[in-house]
Amino acid sequence: MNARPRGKMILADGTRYEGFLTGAAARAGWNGPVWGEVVFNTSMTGYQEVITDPSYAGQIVVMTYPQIGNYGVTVDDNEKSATAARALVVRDLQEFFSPGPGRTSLEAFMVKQSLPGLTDVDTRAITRRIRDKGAVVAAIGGADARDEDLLELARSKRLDRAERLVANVSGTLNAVHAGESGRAAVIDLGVKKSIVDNVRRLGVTTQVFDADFRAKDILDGGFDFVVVSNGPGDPADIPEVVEQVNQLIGRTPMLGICLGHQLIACALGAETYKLKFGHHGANQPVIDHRTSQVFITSQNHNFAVSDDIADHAGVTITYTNAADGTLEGFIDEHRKIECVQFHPEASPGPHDCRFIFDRFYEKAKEWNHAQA
Amino acid sequence: MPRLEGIRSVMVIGSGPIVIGQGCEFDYSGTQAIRALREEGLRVVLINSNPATIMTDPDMADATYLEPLTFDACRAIIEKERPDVLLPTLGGQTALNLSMELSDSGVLEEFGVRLIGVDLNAIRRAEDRSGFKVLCEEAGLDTPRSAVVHSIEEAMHALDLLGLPAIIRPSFTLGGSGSGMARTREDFVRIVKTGLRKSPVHEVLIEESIEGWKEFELEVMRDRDGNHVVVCSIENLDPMGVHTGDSITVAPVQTLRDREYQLMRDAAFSIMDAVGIWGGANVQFAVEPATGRMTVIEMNPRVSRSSALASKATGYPIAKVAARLALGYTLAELPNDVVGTIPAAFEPSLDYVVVKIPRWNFEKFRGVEDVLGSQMQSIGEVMALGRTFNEALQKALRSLESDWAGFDTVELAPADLERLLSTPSSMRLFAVKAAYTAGLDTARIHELSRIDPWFLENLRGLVEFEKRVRAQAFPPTREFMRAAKRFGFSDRQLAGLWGVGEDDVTAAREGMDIHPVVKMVDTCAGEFEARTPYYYIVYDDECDVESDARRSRQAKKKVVILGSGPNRIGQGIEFDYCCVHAAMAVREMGCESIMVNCNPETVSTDFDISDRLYFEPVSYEHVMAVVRKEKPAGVIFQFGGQTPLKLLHRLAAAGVTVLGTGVESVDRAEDRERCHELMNELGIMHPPCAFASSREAAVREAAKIGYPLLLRPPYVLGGRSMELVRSEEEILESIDSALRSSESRALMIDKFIEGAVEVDVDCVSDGENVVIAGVMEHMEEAGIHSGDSSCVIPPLALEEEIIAEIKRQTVRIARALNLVGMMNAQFAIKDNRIYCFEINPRASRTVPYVSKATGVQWVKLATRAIMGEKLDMQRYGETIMPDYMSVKVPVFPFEKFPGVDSILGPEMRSTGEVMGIGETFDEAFIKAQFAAGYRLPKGAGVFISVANRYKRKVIFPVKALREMGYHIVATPGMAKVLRSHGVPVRVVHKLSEGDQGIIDMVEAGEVHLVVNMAWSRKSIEDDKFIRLAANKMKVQCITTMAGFHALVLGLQTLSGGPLHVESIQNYNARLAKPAARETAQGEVRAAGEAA
Ligand SMILES: Nc1ncnc2c1ncn2[C@@H]1O[C@H](COP(=O)(O)OP(=O)(O)O)[C@@H](O)[C@H]1O
Ligand SMILES: Nc1ncnc2c1ncn2[C@@H]1O[C@H](COP(=O)(O)OP(=O)(O)O)[C@@H](O)[C@H]1O
Ligand SMILES: [Mg+2]
Ligand SMILES: [Mg+2]
Repeated sequence: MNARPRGKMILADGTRYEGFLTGAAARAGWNGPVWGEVVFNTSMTGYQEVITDPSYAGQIVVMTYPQIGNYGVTVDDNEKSATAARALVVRDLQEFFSPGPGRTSLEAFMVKQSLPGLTDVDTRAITRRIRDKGAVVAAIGGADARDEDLLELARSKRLDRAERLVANVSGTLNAVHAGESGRAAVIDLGVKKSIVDNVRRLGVTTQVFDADFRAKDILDGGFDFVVVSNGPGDPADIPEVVEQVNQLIGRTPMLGICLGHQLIACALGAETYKLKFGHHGANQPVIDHRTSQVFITSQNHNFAVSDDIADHAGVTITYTNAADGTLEGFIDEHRKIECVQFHPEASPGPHDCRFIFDRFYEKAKEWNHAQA
Repeated sequence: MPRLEGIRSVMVIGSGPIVIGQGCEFDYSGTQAIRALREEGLRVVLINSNPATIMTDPDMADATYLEPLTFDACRAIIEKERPDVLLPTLGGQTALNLSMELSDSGVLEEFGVRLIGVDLNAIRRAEDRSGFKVLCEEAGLDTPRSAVVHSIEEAMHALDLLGLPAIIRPSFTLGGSGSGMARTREDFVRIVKTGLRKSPVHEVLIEESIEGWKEFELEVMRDRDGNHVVVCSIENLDPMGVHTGDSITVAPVQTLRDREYQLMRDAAFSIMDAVGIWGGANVQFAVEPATGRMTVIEMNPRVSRSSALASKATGYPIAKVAARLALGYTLAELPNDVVGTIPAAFEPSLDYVVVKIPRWNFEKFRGVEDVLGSQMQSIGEVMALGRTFNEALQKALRSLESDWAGFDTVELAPADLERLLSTPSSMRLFAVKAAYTAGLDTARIHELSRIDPWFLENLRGLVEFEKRVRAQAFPPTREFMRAAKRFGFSDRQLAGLWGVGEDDVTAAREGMDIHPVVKMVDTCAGEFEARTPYYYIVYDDECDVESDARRSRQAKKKVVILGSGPNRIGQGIEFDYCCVHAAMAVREMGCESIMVNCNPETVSTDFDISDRLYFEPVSYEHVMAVVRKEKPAGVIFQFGGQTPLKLLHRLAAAGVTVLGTGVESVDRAEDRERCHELMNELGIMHPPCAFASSREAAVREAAKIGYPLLLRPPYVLGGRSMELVRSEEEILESIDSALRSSESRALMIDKFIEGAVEVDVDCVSDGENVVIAGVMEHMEEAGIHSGDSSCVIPPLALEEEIIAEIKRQTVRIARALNLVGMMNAQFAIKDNRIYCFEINPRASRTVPYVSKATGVQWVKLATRAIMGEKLDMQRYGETIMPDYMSVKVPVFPFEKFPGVDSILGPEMRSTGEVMGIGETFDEAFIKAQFAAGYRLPKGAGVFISVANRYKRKVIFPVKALREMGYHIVATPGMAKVLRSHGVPVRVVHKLSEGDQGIIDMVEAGEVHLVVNMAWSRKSIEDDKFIRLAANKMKVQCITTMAGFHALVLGLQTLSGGPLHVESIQNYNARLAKPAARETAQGEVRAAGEAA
């Protein structure tokens, strides 16, 4: 049986899930309870990449795969040095892990990162609740916390606005990475390490700009292309970032990923909307309408760009989601923009779409050559 | 992308009889694929010699040829049917090798048949060990150091390079057949020779041993455009060195970081692209634990055992999708059956853990060591789903039908512990438990077993918790009971640990409001709403079924059908066939069929066969959980063989409504003592018998009845531990072990009816009318288990009056038992006296064969009777006596157990069966022999060595063989007799007379048939070395007079020209016309005469 203290999670609609506290929450002096928007992730591997993915800032992550922690954690799998998620909810957190080079315990990592967790919970029940009724805010507390207080906490909290979430997670990555040839600017709205790694893999010198970047600094920097990164929160919350992005449009080749894809779309005047419960997993099927090929992609977003972006001159829809038809990508040859809602860098998830970085760099050279 | 043009008809080659390494998974995938092909509007032509499969049902394919899987038969069928394309990837290695033969020989080209699903160079690149290595290196992938050799000389050279230990892996074989790990030079030479012989292309790979590395498998789909998905990832608990088919395996992968798993996934796809697959394939990898180095082991370019497991583990129907991909569809164009809204271009996400455990039958093969290696030896397997590894593991252990309630304690000698950990065996899991209990730690157990510490720590968790259960007074707190159930402990296990009754634990648990819940297998971890009701039962908080609002409360009557569990000797795919037909019949009657089974390889656990599938152990607690959840109108026990029947009493006592024959009648038939009382009441003769529960009583009764005798334990199937006893001396040898295995219940001593003809009768009854489904005459004398004997419909040499009397007795027994459903009765006929020696109040393993022979789906009929319908006596009153002959021949696994004597006896040992159909008995029999893998090339040598009592009887058949151009070789005594009848014979000595004569000839390939019939136990033992040599060289060995006669007659018909092939649909159609009819009362009436 669990030597861990009892705990529970209560959703804003009052639904209650019992379990045991783990990670930081199991330690004396935990400054619980904690609240956040609940999302479920269906990846069967990659829990470390998930809890260190800045895009989960402000969210309670429920893993649908029941046994988490089987292979411990390894430093170079972190997407960011600090965990971003508010809490990790699982069915069976593993105390022991299969040994391997550089591996340490997940629970110890959660304690070090002060990431609270809840285990022994029926995660499938939570998933089906969210699938049927949509995303919801919840609060997690120990046995001593009164249900009414947790319910009140879950109901009273408004979701943090993106600018606060982005501010918390942006800017902690090292600024410049030298490369052999070419220069790339990465706008860090909560960028995952693996996106920076995939840009650097192209051999370009890579400079990371914080969320409060000025378009002018980038335009003056003589970059071959700009990447607008992933990040947490609602794209509609950060008009000032959209404004800066807008100034870059057409003047430098731009690759938008996830939040970046949404912000560029907003800059073009398209609408974004909130999905019922979002796409969070490593098995989302995406169709490329140019080749009718299907790719299995890694995704983590609660918002999407509406199809009416196709009405904008020059924009062509490239990818849509094979399961629910939502927009997954567009290109604007004229404005030298390629955007994807999914995560070509994966981490976690399949490497099927890593070629997008290489193909975009070739396209950027073409665009720049044509420009000159 | 629309389908390939110009495809109207497709030929599918099946996998033939169930053998070790190529089991019933090919019936499951073949059936699913054929249904997909017909849904595409194609005419499907099938060749498959296995009558026990759903695939060979007449209504499954358009033209079904129950013909031998040989080049000649395939060629004859292609010539007759002229299919547009051939799909080679659905029949395992047999179909693949045959397809290559058909292509290389130009037959496909000759008749304009295109190959689809995979092209031939792809098969060669994948199956040819050296070609595959080049392919991997070109894709930049690492493979173990190795060399490909075609001779023993080349092998010795490779040995100097690679050193020992080294593994030898033949090309184009399956189930690791012919492969082996060599630790000494002697091993090396022996295994290389076997490997070269077993490989159709005479090629083996000598490879550095990476024993102990972690072993993984990915089940991958790819379409014509190169889109690909991983359907399922599998991690082997048993590391490299134990064949994946003989390993405990877990899905999904448990101990790889995402980064490591994605690299493996990329590697699998680059191999799939290089080979160019349209459909499904299995790719195997090994990973070195300390460094994470990943190497490629092999790839199987077709659906396989693991794709059947992957389909059941994820709910993704691989064979169905693979068939359509072979036709040219792309993954995006095909729907995901489980979740209609998403395409087949989707990777299942699991929110549960799957554990598969193989099922062995080592106890059936005395002299075979329970040691696992790179060659498969398991007969079947079970699968279980749980929310944690421990829950799934204990459920799987419970499903094995080995009397384990879960991770039980098995007494193992402490001295053997370390050996039992380091040498893989079927009991290694229990050795781990014993090791922990004896105080060894995870590090030491890992060092010995190389099993990954994550698995070991989970097992240690179970051992620790069990200690706490013992220390815990009963009843425990609610929290403790809940934790125990979530750890996978069954009420029966807990009862054992607490020293109370199972019902006490169940009552306490339910009193604490702790109940199992039902979860759904939906391929998407709950992300989308799934349509297909495929369930498993666990201990968690929420139930998918109750809160499944979408399920309307229709008033359909629900019927639970209990499956037959894992495939094992005596309890094979025939019972799965019956369960599937029962489910179909229940559905056709407008009721809701609910299947409960735990065998991942079979059609019964295909989720669209019944309305609801519970993938659960067929054991008391789990069946009761289904019954409590579904509240069915009743439960059908009759079609799963012995497994459901064992539960009948307890389930009936717990209030379950038994559909069909009642508990009382079943017991009267199953309990041998009560059965004899019944027969005495009915005036039906049974072999004189007596019951004894002590040595003295046994010897006394034996003397009274008179030798020879059969010594048999109670309530057992497959003749387990039943022994023929010819003299007092022999009974004294056997009595002690027989008493031990009967667990204090009395032993039965039967008069052995020597030289009797054995007859099997299957019948169906609706409680009033009894219909005889089939009367089968066995070729082998009674004493060879019915499951190991060839048999024929209609009976060959029995007088009409005998058949009529047997039918009258069967009807009387059925009526006396108030039989509702199916029954099998077995008779021994000697000097026109009919002895009934067994009544089985259920469907028997002959039912699929009888259905194919008579063209009637007897199980469906029986199910309708069980559900209360009356039999249509007009239509079924008269026993069908086909005017063509159907012969069933068993197939044995002796090739996999070289050290085992292939002598037959009352204990069943065959793993599968084939069927031959022909106008005459001889044609049908020889076809069945070819289907069973029998070859006798022109001018072959035949060795004759028989006991004196048979010497006269063999003269005529041996003479016939000589006239057909075969060379006769015999021992001196036999040679003298043959020469005196003008038969030229080459004399050779048996070992006991000094020189090596016969063994050298067999090993030199000069002898292709051994005829060896001994009588006394001693002479059987003396001749054993001959049969072992024959077995090792895959030389046919005939040990009974009936078998020898039939073979010779069959060969004579063959010499009369090419094989005649005919579809079973055409044969069955002939029965619709008023052929010779016989009424239930046994009078024969000519066709057309007034009834
Ligand atoms: N180089 C090797 N070292 C150790 N074990 C091996 C090696 N190659 C294969 N094996 C073991 O032998 C088993 C059978 O080999 P495999 O090539 O998969 O044969 P098959 O084609 O019959 O499946 C594998 O499952 C693995 O456990
Ligand atoms: N009294 C007997 N005389 C001769 N052979 C017998 C007798 N009883 C059984 N046998 C042989 O032993 C085989 C197995 O016995 P059976 O009672 O059918 O057990 P099972 O439950 O395994 O079917 C039979 O198929 C038959 O060949
Ligand atoms: Mg293999
Ligand atoms: Mg029997």
